[in-house]
Amino acid sequence: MYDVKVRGSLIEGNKSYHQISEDISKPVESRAPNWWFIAMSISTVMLIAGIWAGFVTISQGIGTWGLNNSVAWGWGIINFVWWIGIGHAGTAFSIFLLILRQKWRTSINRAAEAMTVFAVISAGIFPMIHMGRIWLAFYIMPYPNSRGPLWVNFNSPLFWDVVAISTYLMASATFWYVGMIPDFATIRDRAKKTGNVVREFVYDLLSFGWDGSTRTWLRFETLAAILGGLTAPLVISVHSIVSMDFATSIMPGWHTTIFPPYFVIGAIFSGFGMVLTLMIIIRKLYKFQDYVTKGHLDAIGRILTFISLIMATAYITEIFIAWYSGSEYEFFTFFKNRITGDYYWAFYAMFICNAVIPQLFWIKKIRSNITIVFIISIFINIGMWFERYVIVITSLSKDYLPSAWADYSPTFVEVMLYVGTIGLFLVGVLGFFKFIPMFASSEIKGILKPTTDSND
Amino acid sequence: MKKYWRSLSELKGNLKVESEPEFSITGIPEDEVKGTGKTNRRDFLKLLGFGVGYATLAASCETPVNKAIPYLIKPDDITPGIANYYASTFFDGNDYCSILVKTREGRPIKLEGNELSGLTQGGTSARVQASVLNLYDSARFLPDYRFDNADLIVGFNADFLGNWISPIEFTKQYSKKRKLDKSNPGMSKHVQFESTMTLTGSNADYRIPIKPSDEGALLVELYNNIAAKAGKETLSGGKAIVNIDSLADELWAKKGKSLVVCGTNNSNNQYLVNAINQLLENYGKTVDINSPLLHKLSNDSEVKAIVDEMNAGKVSAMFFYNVNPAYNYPETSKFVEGIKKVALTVSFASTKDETSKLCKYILPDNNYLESWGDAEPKTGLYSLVQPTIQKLFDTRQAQDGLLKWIGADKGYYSYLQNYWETEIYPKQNTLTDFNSFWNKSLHDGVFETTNGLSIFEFNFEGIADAAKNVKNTGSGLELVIYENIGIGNGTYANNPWLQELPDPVSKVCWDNYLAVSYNYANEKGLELGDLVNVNGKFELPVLIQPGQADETVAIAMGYGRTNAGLAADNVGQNAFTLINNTGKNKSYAISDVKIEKVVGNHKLALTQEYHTMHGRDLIRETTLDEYVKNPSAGNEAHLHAEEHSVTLYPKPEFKGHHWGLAIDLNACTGCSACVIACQAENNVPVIGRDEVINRRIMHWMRIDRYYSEHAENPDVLYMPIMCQHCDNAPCENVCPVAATPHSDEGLNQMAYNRCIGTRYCMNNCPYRVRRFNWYQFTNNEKYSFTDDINLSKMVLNPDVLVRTRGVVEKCTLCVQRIQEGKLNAKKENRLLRDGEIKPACLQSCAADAIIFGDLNDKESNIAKAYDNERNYHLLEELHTLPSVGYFTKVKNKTKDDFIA
Amino acid sequence: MEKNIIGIYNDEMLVAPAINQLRDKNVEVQDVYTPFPVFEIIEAMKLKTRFPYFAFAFGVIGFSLTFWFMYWTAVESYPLNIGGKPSLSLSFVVILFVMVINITVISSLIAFFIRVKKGPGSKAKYVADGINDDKFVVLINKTKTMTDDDSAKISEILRDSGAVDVQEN
Repeated sequence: MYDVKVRGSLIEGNKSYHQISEDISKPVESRAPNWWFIAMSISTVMLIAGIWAGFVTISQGIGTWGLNNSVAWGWGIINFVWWIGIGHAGTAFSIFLLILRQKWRTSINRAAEAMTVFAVISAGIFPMIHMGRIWLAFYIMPYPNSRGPLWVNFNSPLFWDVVAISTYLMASATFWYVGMIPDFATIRDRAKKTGNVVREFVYDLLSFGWDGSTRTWLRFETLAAILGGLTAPLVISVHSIVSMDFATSIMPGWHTTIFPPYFVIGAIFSGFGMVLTLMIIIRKLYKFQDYVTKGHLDAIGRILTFISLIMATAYITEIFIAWYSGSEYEFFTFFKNRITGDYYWAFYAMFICNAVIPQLFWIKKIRSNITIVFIISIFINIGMWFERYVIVITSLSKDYLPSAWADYSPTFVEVMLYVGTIGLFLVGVLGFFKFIPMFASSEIKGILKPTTDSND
Repeated sequence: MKKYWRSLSELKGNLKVESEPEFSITGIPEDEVKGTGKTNRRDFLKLLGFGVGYATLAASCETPVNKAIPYLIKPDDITPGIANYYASTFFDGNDYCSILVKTREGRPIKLEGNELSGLTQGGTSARVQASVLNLYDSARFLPDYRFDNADLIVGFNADFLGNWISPIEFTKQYSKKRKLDKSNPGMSKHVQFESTMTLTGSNADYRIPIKPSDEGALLVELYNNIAAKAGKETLSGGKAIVNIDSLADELWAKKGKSLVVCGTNNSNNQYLVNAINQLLENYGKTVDINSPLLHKLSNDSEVKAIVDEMNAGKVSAMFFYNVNPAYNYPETSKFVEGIKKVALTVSFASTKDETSKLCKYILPDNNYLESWGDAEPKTGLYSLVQPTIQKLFDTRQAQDGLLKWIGADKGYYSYLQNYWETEIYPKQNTLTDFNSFWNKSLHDGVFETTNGLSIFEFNFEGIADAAKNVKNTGSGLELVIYENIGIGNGTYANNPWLQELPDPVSKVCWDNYLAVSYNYANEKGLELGDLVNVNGKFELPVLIQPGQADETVAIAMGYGRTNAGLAADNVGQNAFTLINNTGKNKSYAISDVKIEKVVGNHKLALTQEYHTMHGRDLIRETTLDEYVKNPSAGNEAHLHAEEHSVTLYPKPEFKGHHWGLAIDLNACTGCSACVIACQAENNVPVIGRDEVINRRIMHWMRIDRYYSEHAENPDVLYMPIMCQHCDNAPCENVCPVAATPHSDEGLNQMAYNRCIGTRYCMNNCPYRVRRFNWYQFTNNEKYSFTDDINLSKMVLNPDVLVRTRGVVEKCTLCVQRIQEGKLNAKKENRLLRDGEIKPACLQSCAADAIIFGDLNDKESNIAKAYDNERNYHLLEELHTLPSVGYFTKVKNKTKDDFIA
Repeated sequence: MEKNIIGIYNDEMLVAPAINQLRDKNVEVQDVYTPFPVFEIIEAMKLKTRFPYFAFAFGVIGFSLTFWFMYWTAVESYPLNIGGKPSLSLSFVVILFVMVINITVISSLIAFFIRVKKGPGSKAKYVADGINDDKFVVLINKTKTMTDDDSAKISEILRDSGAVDVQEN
């Protein structure tokens, strides 16, 4: 078991329980700092740009995108997978680390889960908007009808996506929300004391009548464990299912059994990267250095190094198998259309950002320099975006019949749609910062002192 | 714009009652559908009798249309939902084709070839197929050739499969000699000398690029070589630009079974070629003078003389019928000046054009689908044109106008009948009364007689002069002006289907371009689309054409129109202005053309951007000698795939029919008639140049064209690709809403109304045959490319759904025709016959390259085709189990190059 | 109206011994209100829950329901030939996996709120100040048989075990 002292103490500053309540409730109770308003405005503008792009897409047609009869999926699906990948961090944090009893997760899991929820919502926009006839989207639901009754195609990975992602969103949101209930109760009680009627009303509603009863706590913990235990397999299965969109297809470069684990690991990679980005911002701007310590950041950095090695292994495996398989189409896709060829720039962006740059974390000096860590965390997500770009575009653009080979470049509408989802994510996260306690204060209080139960 | 009618019921209200009825009451009895060889005859006045009850009919000429009223009493011969077929003739002044016009609810919507014609035998071309659209648009003595009797064909700049004289007929003949019979494997050998890569040249076994100025000297050389063997005098003026000794030997060895043709518009060259054929004893065997072809008999010098007279003020009246000199006369300005001096100018053009704009009077002719007429494309072969729809607009048949002006007391219909009664009816003696003969001829569309042998003696007198006068020097860069497959001479430039048809060789549409050779482009630093100035006349984008002879360039005529309509105007540049009109014959080959690179690049709309197979085993080919040794030559991968075929699931079974298609790549010439036929039959939309550049063309059928590796003179291979109807379809599995399941007869179905447009199926199709409606392409002004969208919609086939935005579509193997065939057989209480159901592509193919039928019927052509050693499936190693087969391409060439 | 004795503690470690002491005196602790769950307290109160068994049952129901639905729709009601694959497809496994989780999550959530009798719109029971912050409150219900003397004894035990405040009503 770890020695707490090696990584630094879990919470610094010798806090009392009341102090924790104070610290964590403060952002909710005080006026948002100026930078928050600026950031919120920018994010709203981005969101509006996205709404415009969505409106143009739905009213005029997918023709407003840069797709064609050979490359029928582009930025829409790349961004979809990118967002879902990012969304896996929250669940990975909360659940895996819960199961592995890593107590240090408690400072981060709430924000990570928030990130998950907003990332999955942003992701979910893309499968909807990329449909040619979104107004008939309900056809995907198997409900009794008078057309046969015609049901759906259970073999289709897109249907699996619908089921998996809605389940994931529901489970994550539930798990996230349920965890917040005790903290909402804290704020409610504080609001009552200070006489803030509006806040008391709102958080009273949100806290579902929570009173801190141990009987309820027991069931609450059990529920959390159950939800955690159920959501954990979702981390693996959801992104495996998303990977099946490609793996079950016969396109060269897509048709490979490595995709489910490859995608899941990649998702955790990008998710952790995004968590790192956000946590560094939070601790700086809200002065939460005591809760998110250098030790936390160090731990995440090490995990990222490890995962980056796995990513490198996965890339090399793919390339090796493309050659070893003897399939001329696979060979062409990897060696002539990724490593070299029209899209080499995307391939190298992916490889360098994902497999090379995070290796810098081996160096302790780099790992402790928060600014560099922040920059590297951004590179990780850029690299993961390029990974999806390479997968989607290179395989579709040059597949089996050269007569059908065609290039793709996104249009302004597609780019604005992406910008819009970033805006949506930021609006959500910023709202989270303001209106929801960023840390699970009840959990943090729980780990403040080592207990006889701890396996830490 | 007059209001036009949409259904027969509306028509009844609009019928003019004139003193000379357009259509007479005849007594052709009730008939069944085309398959049994009978057609229905519609009788408007008979219907009129039924319609008298409708108060809208008035004695005055014009009756306003009030409402479309559905039938209260169904007219005898018209059943809504069932098509009526009428035999007619397509002849636009250039090309001839005997056709059956399919009409629905009184509207022609599709043209099919007429199998009763001995000449075209059911074949069609892209232009014939597309001409049905024109209805709905608000403008010498030649021997016939017998390519099916020739074992060795040598062409000199003759695009006989694409545009030269009678391409449908020639394709039909040519393909007969390209198909292989395993028990007696033999095929013709085709050698082609040409400057630019034509459709014909791309099909040749051996192709030699030459300059236009080289042709004459080479012809003299060939003549001399043959003359020496025949013991005749040799001529001066020959030059062995290319060593043709072995070719001459082969021609001599195949005396009487060879054929030399030349497409150059020069009487000296033609004389030489005729002489060569005479020496080779081809007359009467591969050169048929018993029934000479009667197209293209105009005389260039006579036309020139007329223009001179116009300018001298000597012409008082001119009537223009089926010509457009203000657009295509080489010295356009001279013509335009001249016409101003003519007091009375009348145009009979049925669609607006550049000449009609300059005429004093425009008396629009009917469209050919609204007209009476006849044609004699070849001596002794007569065909009739009959109207298949009441006139849509206020037009009059030109012949009726002429008759009126000479004071005749009858209309053209009577005149025509009279002619047939006196001149043609006596040529037969099986039918003893004229009415029966007339009805039968109308019904069949053709009446063919055999001619007696004509005595013919070849006159060698002028041959030495001809040899001297052949053009054998050219200087500088030589320009060839040619007709391409879609637009031809420009008459159809306003037909959006034809504008969007990718040129079979270059795959460019919606534009013409300057074709340059690979070496020339490298030398001048030219890239695709770079703009150049041609002879100071206009600017054109450059296309690098593999196989283009060095020191030559080429431009297609027919573009650059200015008063033809929305689709044609200002598309491309008018190459007619470059034609050399100084000699006795118009010359389409021009010396010393000045090409100057200018700043700018014009993006050409290409439907294919990668032109080689990259080493992939897509079109399998072999040579004839290899095939003779082993029928599976070139197709070893098929045996391998069959052997190693493994499946996780049991193979799907088809208890009833199992439809399959096969394409003989030896017969297919790449002419693209099938592409347009499919478009016409299945309501495939046109999307315009910009969207084609975006790689969104909607054609369900496409023809992949691949070059072999050398860009200077490559081999060319064609492969028509449509939905392969895979029994293990990768597309079916991935559709979340089950919009594309598999039918129990083996078709991959596409339920448009279920599709929500996720496009996963498009991604998973390795053949890339699925098309997406990226915008609202149908029923949308922006994409109609015609001046009146409501009018152009009348060409739609009511048997096929029109798709909306956001929906995927693809080839259905003409499921509507399959259903129709099955229903007919059911009604007649019999089994389906093999070959009875013809998808549109198969029906239109002049080369008979497509086979379709029930794979479960062991006796069917398709089942036998699948057993052929040459048969394979595209990408069969992916185990998609396609229901489309291809026969390997066998070329009649030895491994050695021709020039050895 | 309920009558209670409450003991307010600052330190959670003191609560479990207090509960044990009270049990020795046959006093039933109704509930303990804490800002976070304390394992020792749960143990001392000898609380048990059958929740996991319910979750398992939900899972089994979810599995059966989903499987039956997919089987009936794809094999019996409207079987389609999709890519030549059999109607009873291995794809069912993927959907079953996810739907079991889905149904179990929803059912467990609803079961939880029903069981703890809380939900949207519920009013929290106010026990004492500092709950949900940093206080640990032991609540003992004054039963009908308790006398004032008993109450005083209880208060004493609470005070002795380290409660910073004892309240009665």
